[in-house]
Amino acid sequence: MSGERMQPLELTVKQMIELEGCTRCGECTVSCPAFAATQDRRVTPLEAFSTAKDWMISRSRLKKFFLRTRSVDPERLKAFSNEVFQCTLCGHCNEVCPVHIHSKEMRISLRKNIGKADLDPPAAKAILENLEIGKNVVYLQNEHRLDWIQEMPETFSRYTQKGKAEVVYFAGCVASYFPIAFSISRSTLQLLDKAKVDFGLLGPQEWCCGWPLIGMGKEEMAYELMNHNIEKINAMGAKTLLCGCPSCYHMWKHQYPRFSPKITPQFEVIHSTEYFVKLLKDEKIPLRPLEAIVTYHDPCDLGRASGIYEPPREIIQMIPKIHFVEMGTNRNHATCCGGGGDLEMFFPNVTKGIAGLRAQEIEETGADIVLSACQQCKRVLSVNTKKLKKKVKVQDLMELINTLSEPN
Amino acid sequence: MGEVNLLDGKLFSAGGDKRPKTMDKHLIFYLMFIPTVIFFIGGMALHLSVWLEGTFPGAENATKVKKLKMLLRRGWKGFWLKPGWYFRVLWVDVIFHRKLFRQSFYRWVTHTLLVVGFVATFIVDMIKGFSTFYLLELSHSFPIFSFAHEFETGLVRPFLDFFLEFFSFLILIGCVLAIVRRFFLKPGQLQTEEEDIITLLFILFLEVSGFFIEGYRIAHPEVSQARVYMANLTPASANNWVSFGGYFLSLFFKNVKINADFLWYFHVIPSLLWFVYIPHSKLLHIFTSSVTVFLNRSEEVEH
Repeated sequence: MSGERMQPLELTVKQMIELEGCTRCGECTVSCPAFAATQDRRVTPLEAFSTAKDWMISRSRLKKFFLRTRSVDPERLKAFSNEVFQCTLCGHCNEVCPVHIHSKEMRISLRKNIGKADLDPPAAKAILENLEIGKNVVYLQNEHRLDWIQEMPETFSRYTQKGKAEVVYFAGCVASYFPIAFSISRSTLQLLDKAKVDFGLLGPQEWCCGWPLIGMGKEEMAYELMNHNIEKINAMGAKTLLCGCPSCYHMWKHQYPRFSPKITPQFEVIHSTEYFVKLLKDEKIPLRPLEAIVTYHDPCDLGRASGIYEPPREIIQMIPKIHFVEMGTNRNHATCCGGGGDLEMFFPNVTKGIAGLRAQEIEETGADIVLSACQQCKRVLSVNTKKLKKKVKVQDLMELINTLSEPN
Repeated sequence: MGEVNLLDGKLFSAGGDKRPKTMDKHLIFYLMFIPTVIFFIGGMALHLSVWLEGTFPGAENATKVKKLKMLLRRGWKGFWLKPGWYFRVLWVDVIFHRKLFRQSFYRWVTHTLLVVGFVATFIVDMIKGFSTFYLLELSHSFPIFSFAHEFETGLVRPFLDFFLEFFSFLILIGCVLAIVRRFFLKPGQLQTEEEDIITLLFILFLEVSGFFIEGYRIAHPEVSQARVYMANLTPASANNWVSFGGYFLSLFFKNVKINADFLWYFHVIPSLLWFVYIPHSKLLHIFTSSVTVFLNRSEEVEH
């Protein structure tokens, strides 16, 4: 195999310069959750850049000789595939890089190149099939997208049949297909109902937002999903798209415009924490007091990727008698839960390791409850804190404020 | 060794066999300098060629030349759209290194000493070399350039000597701090590779040899009077003490005799080699990291 002609590395001119702009200072290594969990330097941005640089140059003998690079043959690329996919795309490396290298975007581009070289991790095939056929990350069909609403009172089903609505709630794949996250979408629905918001759901017409595909470097496959979703939401005449999932939010808010979809969205995209902080300020949802120590875990796609740090904290501070403590790492330096960047689908043990590290940080705060504003964070942290026998309760903010808005 | 009349400020004396001797030195220098520049440009061109293999949004099938033109045109236009922003980024993010300052004061001090030291030394050295060599020569034909004498023996000279010494001293401190961090403090994030060692040793050697030569020049005024080497063309100064590092070392060199030609090669050859080494080492980041900061800061601002 080593005699085969190698696939050229396709990056933008800017990314090519970035690869050589890395000074190997190691800041990204220290901040990398995958490295923290595995202690394997090969998974860090720094090492990925190094191999990518060799890949970039190694096709030309002249450049390879003069620019002193190591050989990258197809065998090396196979191993590189594993290294490139051991990443949560948390973006902490972007945050700490002293020379502002956009490592997260680089990682996605490298994944794209790995895909072109037909070296995706074995698990990718099934996920891509689910997304291509079932339009979600979990199953080969999309009919069960509303299973989470089944156990709710009958009256709620009316929201699934509305042809027109001011607000469309985009539940996201995790809250639609993973029972452990069902209560997030249920809580959001109940809160919207209590606040008497004119809202509706897409139901089986809600397709995956496309972020898992972007994260895998398959952006060309995401176009169909993007266009479908925009078309359906436009058709409902919605003015606001309410996202419960930070990855969906990031995708809608920052990635869709970048890809210039065929159809222009006619609505504003907002995350549930931004939406409910307004409703709470307007006193549309009264809250009971809660005597507990709580901490907040910043989801990467909501915080670092979208810059939303304050609305969740404002919501928490609005709860009477609550005692809020920050975690050791928070806001733009918050440690990832381990559930992002498709990592769990390819390397569940690495996710487990990262979640364990975050669980430790949570425990150190002495909090009774750790809140988040992400379905995937809630899922990953719940499963792993339970496995590690941590006493802390993991909740999504929507779940907590829904509970506190109920009469005692 | 030939003698040159210092007082008339001429580099090449008119007298007989003295002239070819000095000319040889220049010939040797240019014979080394020109290939150095060629190798440097060649190294940079190789990298540029690699970068231009990348895609350019909106012009996926463009040739490398076309991509380069587009890149330069876009950069030029972008600069004139918001020149203030570019100067701010240059100052805050490229030179001051705000992000590093927030992360680690030690690293920031080290890096800043090296950056400021090198940039300032380069500027002062250029001023000194240009004024005491080319301008002084030209002043004999064009009196308008007679101010160059101020740079050689006049009022400006002590300032040049001091700043050159001062900024070189900053580099030396920065280099020592970097060596301490890399080889003694050894933070876990850092992996020391061959090129890190070579780079630091290069810097250390260039600085130490520079101070050494300055010390020798001060201790032996006859060396610069005879102008046998080019590392410092300027004649002995009345205020040698402003070159504080060299002056200090000169106290130990009074009774030491070294071949002045050797001293010259001792500093100049490694300096030129270092120049050639830049495109083939992490030192390339002087250019690539600066460009990266500009490109990505503008994206971050938009975001």
